Amino acid sequence: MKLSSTIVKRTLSAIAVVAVGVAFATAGTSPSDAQMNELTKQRSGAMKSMGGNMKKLGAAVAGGDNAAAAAAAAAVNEVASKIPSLFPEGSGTGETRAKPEIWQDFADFRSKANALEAASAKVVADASGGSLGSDPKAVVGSIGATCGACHKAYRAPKPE
Amino acid sequence: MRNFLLIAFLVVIVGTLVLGGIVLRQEDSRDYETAWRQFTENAKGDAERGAYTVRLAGCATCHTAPKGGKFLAGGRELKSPFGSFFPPNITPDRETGIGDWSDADFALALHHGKSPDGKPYYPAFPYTSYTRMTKQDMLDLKAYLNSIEPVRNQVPDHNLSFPFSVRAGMYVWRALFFDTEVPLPDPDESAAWNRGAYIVNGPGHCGECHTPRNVFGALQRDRAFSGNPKGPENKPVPNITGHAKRGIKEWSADDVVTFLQIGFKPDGDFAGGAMTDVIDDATGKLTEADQAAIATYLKSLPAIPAE
Repeated sequence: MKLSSTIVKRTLSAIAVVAVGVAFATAGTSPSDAQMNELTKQRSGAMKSMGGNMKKLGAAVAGGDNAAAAAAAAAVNEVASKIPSLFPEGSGTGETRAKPEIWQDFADFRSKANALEAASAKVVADASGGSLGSDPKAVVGSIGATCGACHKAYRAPKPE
Repeated sequence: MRNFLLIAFLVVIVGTLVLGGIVLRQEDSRDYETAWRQFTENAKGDAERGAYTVRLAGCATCHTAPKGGKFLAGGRELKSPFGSFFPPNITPDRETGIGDWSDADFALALHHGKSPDGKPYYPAFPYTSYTRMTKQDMLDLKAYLNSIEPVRNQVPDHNLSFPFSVRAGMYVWRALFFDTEVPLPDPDESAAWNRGAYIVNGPGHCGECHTPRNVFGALQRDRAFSGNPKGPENKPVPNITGHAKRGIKEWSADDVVTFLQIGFKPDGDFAGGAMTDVIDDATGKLTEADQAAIATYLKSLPAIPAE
């Protein structure tokens, strides 16, 4: 299977985001506001890229394109696996909808991220194995339930 | 200072109008009870249909407590600018639920916002929308509620700030803001649109969260569905009119249906917040025809900017 260059690029940018996050997590000193703002901006971009891939996933399932469905779910899975490191302690201020509850129960936050990782991995496996089914809402919903569960607990509403 | 003046103003209004309100209440309840008796002579509730109506009316979202609360046995604390409301137990337990209620009691509560002993409910209970429910839907719902497991659970009293804690003030509120007029179906619109209008404005009570409220907590119907900066839990609730930036102008009717089913938005995002409960308990469990009807109606709403 040929991986398109956009997926490679996306993966690289996800890794870059993670690198920033890991740098904060491991650095003993607290990051500057500017660094934190950069992190929340990139984090928000990573979340939006997952949304974009969820749309692609729906379209791929509707069109019966298993390879494209697997690629989209793999891209979601990639970001999902990095979510815990994208939310270092102290990154809940500034332009972010991340709620402070994330750091009050980080184990639960992590398990919700793991659920997204597992759900997207299953779609990759099903698509590759040809057992994905043809109902886009069922497939998108199987991952989306984990998105919603985490948003509900840990994301503040959009300011009006 | 502003708050003090507002409270003083409210106290004066409540004090002077309460007597008149009490007189009004005697009359309107009696008329209502007569109409209801006439209807129930020839109609019967169907618990199976009512199992669907309970989703249509979104009862569980407020009346079931999160994290393991027994179904419809009393809900979470609803924080509002007026204080905290505790949604009651509506299982058929005779002491702590509504097991003792007649069909007429139930109809008086939903259509008319009154308890069986005639006390007015606070409009946190969306009788201002349920008043538009058909009598048949209401009978079905009651038949269904009669059929579920009774749960013994005493729910605490509401905890409201003065002057809202004075329930008699609700007589005045009703006189000012409770509109019992039920709009007739619009013959120029499709059956789907009319069904959608019924669900959205009646049992579905979408506007109770998505329409802004005035300082007295009454829906600002001229700004219907334009979003509420202070919804449940004092959190903002989005605009669902055809407004381009804030609303759902860019959404297709299919997008709306998908959202009502699984919370997936056209930009790839998934709903969070209270709407996830609404999707789980209500909109996601409706027939596709009803979901499409809601979408048809919502997509017809003209753009209203948020305030």
